[in-house]
Amino acid sequence: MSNKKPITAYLGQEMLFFDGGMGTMLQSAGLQAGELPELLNLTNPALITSVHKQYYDAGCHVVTTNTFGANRDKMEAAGHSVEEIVTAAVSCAKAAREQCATSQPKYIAMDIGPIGRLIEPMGDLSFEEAYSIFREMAVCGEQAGADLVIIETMGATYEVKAAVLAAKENTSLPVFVTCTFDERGKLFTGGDVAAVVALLEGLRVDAFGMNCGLGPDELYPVIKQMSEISSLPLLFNPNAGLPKQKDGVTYYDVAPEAFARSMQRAAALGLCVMGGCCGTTPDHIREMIRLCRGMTPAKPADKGITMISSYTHTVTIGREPLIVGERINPTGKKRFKEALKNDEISYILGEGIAQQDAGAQILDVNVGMPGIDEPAMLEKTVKKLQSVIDLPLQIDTSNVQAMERALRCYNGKPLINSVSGKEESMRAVFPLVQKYGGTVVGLALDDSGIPTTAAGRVAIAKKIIDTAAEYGIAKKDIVIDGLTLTVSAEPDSANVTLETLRRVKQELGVCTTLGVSNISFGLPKREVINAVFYTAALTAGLDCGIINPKSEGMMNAYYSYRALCGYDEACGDYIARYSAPADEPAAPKAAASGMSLKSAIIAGMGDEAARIVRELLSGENPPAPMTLIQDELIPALNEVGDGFEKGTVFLPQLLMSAEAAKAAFEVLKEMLAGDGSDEKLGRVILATVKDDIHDIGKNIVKVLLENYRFDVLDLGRDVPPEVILENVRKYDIKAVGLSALMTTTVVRMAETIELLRKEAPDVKIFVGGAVLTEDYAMQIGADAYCRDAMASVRYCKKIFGC
Amino acid sequence: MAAQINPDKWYSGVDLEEVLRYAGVKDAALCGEDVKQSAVRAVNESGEAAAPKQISRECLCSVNGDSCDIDGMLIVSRDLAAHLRGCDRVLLFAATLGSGVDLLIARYSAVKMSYAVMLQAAAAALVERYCDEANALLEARYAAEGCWLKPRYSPGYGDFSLTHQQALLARLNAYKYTGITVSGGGQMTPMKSVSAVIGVTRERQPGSTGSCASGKCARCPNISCAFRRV
Repeated sequence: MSNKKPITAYLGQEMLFFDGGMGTMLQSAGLQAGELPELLNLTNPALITSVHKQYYDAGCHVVTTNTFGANRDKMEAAGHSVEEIVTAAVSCAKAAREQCATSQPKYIAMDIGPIGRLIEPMGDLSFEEAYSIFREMAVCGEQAGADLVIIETMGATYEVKAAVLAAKENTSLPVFVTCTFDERGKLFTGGDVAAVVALLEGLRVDAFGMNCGLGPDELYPVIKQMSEISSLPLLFNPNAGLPKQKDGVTYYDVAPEAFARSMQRAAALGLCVMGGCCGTTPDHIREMIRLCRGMTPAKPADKGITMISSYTHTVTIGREPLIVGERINPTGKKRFKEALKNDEISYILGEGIAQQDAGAQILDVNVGMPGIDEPAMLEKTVKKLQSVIDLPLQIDTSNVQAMERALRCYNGKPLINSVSGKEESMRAVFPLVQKYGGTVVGLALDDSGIPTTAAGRVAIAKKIIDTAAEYGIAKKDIVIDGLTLTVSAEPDSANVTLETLRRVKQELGVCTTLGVSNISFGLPKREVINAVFYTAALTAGLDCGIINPKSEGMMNAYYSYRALCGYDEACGDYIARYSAPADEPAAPKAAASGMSLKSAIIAGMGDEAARIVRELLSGENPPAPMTLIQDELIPALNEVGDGFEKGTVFLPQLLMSAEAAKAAFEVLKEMLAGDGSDEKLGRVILATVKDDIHDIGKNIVKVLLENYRFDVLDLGRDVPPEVILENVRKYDIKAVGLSALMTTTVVRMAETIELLRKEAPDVKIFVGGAVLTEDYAMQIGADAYCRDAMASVRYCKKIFGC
Repeated sequence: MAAQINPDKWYSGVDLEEVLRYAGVKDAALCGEDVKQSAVRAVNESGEAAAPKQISRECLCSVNGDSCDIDGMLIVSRDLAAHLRGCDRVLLFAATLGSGVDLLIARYSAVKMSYAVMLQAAAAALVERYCDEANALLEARYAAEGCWLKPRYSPGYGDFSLTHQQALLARLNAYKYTGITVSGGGQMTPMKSVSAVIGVTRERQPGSTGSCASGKCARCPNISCAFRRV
C-alpha cells in the first residue's frame, strides 16, 4: 500500500514516529562482531522484513532501510554493488509494509550513514568524492522505491553538506537529517548545535534533529537548545540510554516505559518526529507511541534569527556590533596582489589569522583582480582558510561562477557579498542563496546607479527584500549595505549613508553592513576619519562593520562604543584590553632596544626583527637590502643552523629564528618590492607521499628552505606519485624532497622514486621521515637521506651550487 | 610571573620535559625560558582544544604459534603473539583527543611552525597521558577479579601490521563512540588517536601498565630514534 500524501504533508500536522534500532535487533538475532549488517538484506531478507514489520506493527509511520553503511567503500570490498544491496533493502521494507495491517500511513526512509572517513582537510576524502558516494546511495534508494532519505548519525558538518546536496540534487525525495552530539552538545568534529541548525536551514532540508550518541535524558538539554533556535520541523531519535558492557556485549539500560516517559517530556519542546536509535526495540517505540500519539506537534515557525556559521559555531547578526575583517582583498594592496599572482596562499592565511587574533568575528574573502582565475582562486582560498580558521566567512565576489564554487565548498552558512537591486544580479544570486544557504548582503543600488538620497536607497533595499521572498529567502537572511561613498568627492555622502542605516533598521527591520573605510579615499590620515565615521555608523545602527581589525583607531572606537552602549558587561572587555596586565614584561621594545638585526633573529624575536628592518630602511642612510641580507640575515641563520647541527640549538629555537628572519624579509618585501632582493635560489618540490597524512616534518623543512631563499612548491600531503611527476615536468624542477612517517608509507616513497627515476631521470631526490634510515634511503634509490631540516638545506645548497 | 600548566585539568600531570623532548629539545637546561613557556602554553592550549574520548571492549583471544585469534580476527604477528602469550582474554582499546587538536596544529603550521612543533609534542604527551589514565581505570576493574593488564600493543608495533587497524576499530565501533576514522591509506584521523590490544592475564605484570616505554622501545626496529628509551 503506498501513501497518497508525501510525508512532508504531515510534518507539523500530526506527530510522526520513526522506528527504533536495527543493529540491536540483528545482534540479538545472532549478528556477529565484524559482520556487515547490510549483507543480510541479501542473505536473510526474511529477518530484515520481520524487524521492519515489528516496527510498523508498533505503530511507526517510518521504517529505516538496513542501508546505514551501504556505501561504495564498504560494499565493494564485500563484493556487492550499492544498487544490489539498496534494492534488496528497500524490498524488505516494502514486504513488511505489505504484510502489516495497521492503519497509519507507512513510509520507507532510505538510510544513509556516515562514510567512515573524514573529508579534507580533517581527513583524506575529497568533498566531491563524498558527494558521489552519497549520490549513488540516494539515487539507488529512490529508484528502489524509498519515500524519503534519512541522513543520520552524522558527526561532521562537511559530510552532512555533501550528503544533503547529493540527495537534493539527484532525487526528488524529502530529506531528513540527524546529527550525533556528545554530552557537551558538540559533534565529533567540534560543531555546536547552532552551527548545525544554521547549515541545515540554509540547505533547506525538510526536517532535522539528532540521533544516537546518548539517551533522551542526556540529550534533553541539547534538543531543547535546538528547539529554541530552529525554524524547521525537529526530529529526535536517541539511544535507549548510555551503552554498558557485559561479557563483551554492549547493551543499553533504559527500559521501554522510562524511554517513553523521557520522549514525552522532550516532545513537549516542540518536536514533530520521534523515534529511537541504538538499544531501542519495538517495545520502546510502541510505548513511546502510546504516550505521545495524541500530542500536538509544533508548527514550525521562523524564529527570525540572522545566523551565519563556520563548521564549529555560529555568529548571530543583529544583537551586538560585529567586526568583518576586510584585509583579505587585493584592492589597493601591492603585497597582496603579488601574493595572489604567485599563489602564496600562506600569506593570505596569515592575513586571516592576524585578523582573527585582532578581534574579527567574520572574515571577508575577496580575491578578484585582473589576470587571475577568480573562480578557482576563490574556491582554493575558501578551502584553505576553513582548514585553519574557524571564523564564518563572507564570500565577496561579483563573479557568479566564483560565488557558486565558493558556496559549494564552504563548510557552513556564509555571508554572501553581494547582490544588488539590479534585476540581473538578483536573478543570478538569489538561486544560489536558496540552494546553498547563506545570508546575503544587499547593496542599495540598481540599474540606474546609486541613489543620492536615503529614500532612494531604502526603496531599493525594500525591492531586494521583496524579490528575495519570491525565492523563499526570508528577511532574516538579508543584510543591507547602505553604501559608503568617498566624502572628499561627495560632501553629503556620510549623512546620506547614516540616514540610510537608520531608516533601513527602523522601516525595514533588517540587519545592516557597511564597508566603513571607503569614506576616506583620497584623504590623509585615513584612520582618524574612519574611526569617527565608524562610531557614527554604530550609533546609527550598523551591525556588521567591514573594517581593518588591525587598526588601533577602529578598535578603540569599537571597544569604546560597546562599553558605552551596554554591549560590554561591567566594561569587562574594555578593561581587559586597556589595563596593562601586571604579569606581562614591560614594553618589549625598550627591553630590546639597541639589539642588532642579527641578534634579534638569533634570539627568535620576530616582531623585533621586523621593527629593526623598518627602522633601518626609513632612517637617514638606509642600507641596501642586499647588504642587510648578506651581513645580518644570512650570518644569523648560519649561526643558528650550525648550533642546531652541533646540538646546542634545538628544533623550536631553529624555527623561531627562521620565523624572525621571515618577518624581516617580509618588511623588506613590503617596502622595496621588486628591487631584486627577492631573488630565489631555485625551485624545490616538497611532498608527503601518498597515503601519508602526517605532514609536520615536511612543513618544518619547508620553513627552513624558504628561509634560505629557495622557492618551495609545497604539494601537501597524501600526494600520488603521478602528481609529483606532473609538477616536476610542468615547472622543470631540479630537486624533490619526499617525506614519509610510517613504515607502510615508506613503500609509497619507493614507488614515487621509481616513477621519477624512469620518467624524470635528472631530478635529484632527497628523503626524510621518522622511520627512514640512511641505508634504507639508499636502497630505495634516493640521492640523499636528510636526517633533519638543516640537512635538507645543505643538500639543496649543494645541488643548486650556492 | 611564568605561566603554569592549568592545575585542575585532566592534563595537569603532563610531564613538561617529555613535551620538550618530543619537540626535539634534547637538553631542557640548554634552552631559554621562552621555549619552556611555549611548551606550557602548548599543553594548555592543546588540552583545551581536546575533546578526549575512549572505548574499550573485552573479547576472547587464543594464541597459536605466531597467530592470534581475537574475536574472530586472525592476526599473524610473532611480536603480538609473544606479547599475548598466556592471555585468554584481551581488551580492544581506542582513544582520541578529537579533531580540534588537529585543527589547532594546522592553524599554527600555516603561520608559526615553531609553535606547531610544540603543540604536536604537547598533544603526543597528552594522548599518552589520557590513555594511561583510561587504562588505570581498566586495570583497577580487573584487579578486583585478580587479573593484571599487559601494556598497550598497537598496530604498527613490531610486526603487528597496520593493516589490522580498520578491523580493530570496526570491532570497537570506534567511529560511533569516539569519532575515530581510518583514511584510505590506513592512518587514523583525528591524528592524535591510539588503538591497541591489551592482554588480560593472571600473571603479575612487572611495573605499571600503560604504554610500557622501555618494553616498547626494546622491540622497535628504529634504533636511531631520538626518543628511544632502553
